[in-house]
Amino acid sequence: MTRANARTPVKLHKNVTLIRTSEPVIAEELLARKSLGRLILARLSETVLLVKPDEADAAVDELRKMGHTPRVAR
Amino acid sequence: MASIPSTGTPADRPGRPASPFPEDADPRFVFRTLLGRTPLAFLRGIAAGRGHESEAVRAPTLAGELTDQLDDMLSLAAVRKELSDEDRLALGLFGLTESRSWPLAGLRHTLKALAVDADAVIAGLVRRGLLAVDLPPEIEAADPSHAITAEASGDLEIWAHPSLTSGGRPRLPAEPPAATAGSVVQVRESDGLEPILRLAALWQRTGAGPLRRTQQGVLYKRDRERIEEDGVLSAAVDDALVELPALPTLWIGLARRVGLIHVDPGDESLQAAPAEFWTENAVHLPQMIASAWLGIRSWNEWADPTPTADGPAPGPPLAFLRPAALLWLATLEPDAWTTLDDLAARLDAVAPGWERITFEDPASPAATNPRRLKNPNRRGPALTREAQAARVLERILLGGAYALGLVRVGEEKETNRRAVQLTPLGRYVLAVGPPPPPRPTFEHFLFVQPNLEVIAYRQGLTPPLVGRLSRFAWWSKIGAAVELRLTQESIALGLEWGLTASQILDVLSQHSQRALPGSVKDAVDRWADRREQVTFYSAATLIEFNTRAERDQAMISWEAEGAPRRPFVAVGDRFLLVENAQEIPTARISTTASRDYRLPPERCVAVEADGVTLTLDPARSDLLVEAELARFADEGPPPSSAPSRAGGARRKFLVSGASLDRAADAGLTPPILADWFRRRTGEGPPPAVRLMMRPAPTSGGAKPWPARRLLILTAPSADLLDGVLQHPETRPLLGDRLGPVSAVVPEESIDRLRIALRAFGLEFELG
Repeated sequence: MTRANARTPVKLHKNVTLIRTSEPVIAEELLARKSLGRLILARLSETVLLVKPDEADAAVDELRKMGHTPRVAR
Repeated sequence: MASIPSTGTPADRPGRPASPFPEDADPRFVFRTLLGRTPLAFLRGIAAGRGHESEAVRAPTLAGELTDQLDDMLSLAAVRKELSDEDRLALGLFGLTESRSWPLAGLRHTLKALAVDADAVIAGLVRRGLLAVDLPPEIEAADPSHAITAEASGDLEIWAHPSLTSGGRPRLPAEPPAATAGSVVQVRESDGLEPILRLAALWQRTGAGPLRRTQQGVLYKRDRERIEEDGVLSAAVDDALVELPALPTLWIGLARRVGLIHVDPGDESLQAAPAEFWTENAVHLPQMIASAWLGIRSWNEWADPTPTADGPAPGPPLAFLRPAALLWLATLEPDAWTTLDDLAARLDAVAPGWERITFEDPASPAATNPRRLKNPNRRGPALTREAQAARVLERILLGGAYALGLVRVGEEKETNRRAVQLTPLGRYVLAVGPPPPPRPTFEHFLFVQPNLEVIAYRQGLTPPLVGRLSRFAWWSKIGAAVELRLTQESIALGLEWGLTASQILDVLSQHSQRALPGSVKDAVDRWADRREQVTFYSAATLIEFNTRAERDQAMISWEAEGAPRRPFVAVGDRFLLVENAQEIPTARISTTASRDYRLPPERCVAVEADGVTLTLDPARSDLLVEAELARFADEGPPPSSAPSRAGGARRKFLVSGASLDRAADAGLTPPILADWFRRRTGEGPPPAVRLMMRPAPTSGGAKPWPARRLLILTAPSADLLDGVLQHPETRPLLGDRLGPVSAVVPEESIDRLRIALRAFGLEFELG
């Protein structure tokens, strides 16, 4: 098999619930909000937050309560 | 204001038991199933009548054959040929109202109001296997054509085969009501936009937040109040000739029947249809809503349909009178009028009792006797039969039918009596006229104000334009002029429904009478930008690579091969975020492991022998477990060997007293931690962790463990110690054996043991 045709070994994480912000400071703001912070399991990068899988609706509600109008990708 | 009772199937049939079939069940399947429950002899009678020879020995088999026959063109044509006008009318009612089933009482009521011998026609269709009866289990073995004649049979549901209900128009009654002789003046006709605008408003409200329902199909209080207190949804129809009750219930019922809102099977909530609904259906929406109104049973013109303790709710007969009233109007020539009085007289002649508002009311009340209803406090003062008849027709024809644009209304010049006539839309819906001409439109009908309010002149609105505006502008007032409002939420909703900021501005510019104010453009752009600040992914895919270099290389080459609709996003060192899993180039990857986060978490952590070291299985672990572990354990040093597969090497986490203290501070109690160990390792916490998880002893409260020094005898061999421990002279002088050659010697036995061993020629010395 040539290098060009080589398949890259990967691990897939499917149906993950995430929040992505355009700026790190917005992620900080979200994490600082107590009612939203409890729904967030981890910060995967400066701008990507991992949300508890069964708390998606609550997280969207919280974002809206904070005045955000998130783009919701389903 | 009447409350919204329910929005599910049970509400479509107030006071009736829920159907055992799902709401979206295939009607052919239901028909076949119901037919299959009838006695074999009954089915053989149907087969003989159709000349169908079968060797089936079981009812379901023969029912399947008889059902399939109705999908065969030739057989269906033969069956249709045998239908009488009355049969066609009965079957046509299913198609006219787009109802898969009818309650027997309702079907009887409508047919009687259309001068048809209802019982004979229904029984005849049942005997020929063209209607199927949903019989309760206790009488399933009965002949359904007899069962429907029983006294309490009104609640039975009647299903028709879909092939028989579509196509063709229902036969109209033979003798039309008397047409007006003189001229009709003060003619009024609605623009038919009212229900479309209200349904559009309901659609966008539901899009902004689904309507959540209890298991009984009733809206939760918060959502019920959201709808009931909505100024647009609950306000009376501006152009109404007759005020209708419980309008939010009507709009919800109509929206569900046309498919603008639908039930989410996951949580039973009511959700907005995709925005494409408008693209595909807007042109046909007036007809769709008209058919939905003809068939709606979750609402009626009389009152709140909530079942009451003292009997079934009033109203169901009214719901079944709608098609009959309109079909009578269809018997008139297109330009002829009839008065409500003449229509009532025609109904009186063919179906005494047609005006009753519950099925329990006597069918033929004396014309001059005032009739008291069961609960006069709730239903208002008693009405004479004539007054009730007039009110019933007014509410159906001047209320719903007028608002929907199905009838026009005037006054007979000589008598000042109300006269009605079907509009072209009404005749089209009843399949007695061609499609109505499109509404005349004018392009610039919007007045966009700098304060973000938009005035729309009704004359310019069409159903497709209502749909386009509904995507991004909030309907705030519906009257002679219509008002919309642009808000951050409405723009966000528009973007969510697939529009871009420039498309939104284009729609406004195209229909605005003047150039758009700068403030409007600024606000839309600003809100659109703000929306891009936060993206919520409810089901994203993260691709995890071995190394950052591999991830970056893949990202470049994949995007070069074909740009995804949404760009891939690098996350952290080794992850790639993909919004749509369909865009993953599966031919370019080798999946070494896969985790679906909608499934329960997997056991992917092993406890090492020391009890405090936890090792992650990279093939089965997920992102959640790392976050969970980080709360009560610390990651150990990375393994020296390079990872051999995506997901990395076996990472280790160490549990310590300090890490457990941190967990406790974060609210991770021992029961929660124990539950985590069971889910992730398959067993409870190891003893070493349990040791650290013990609550700190209170000062002075804990009893110290006893400790003492022991004298240990060490034999030269295990065999010799075996002998010493077994012999009766020496056994009592020794304590517990500690190992193969070691045993405890109690302090007080040391001298006696020395003497006893000497007897065997053995000595020991104290060290």
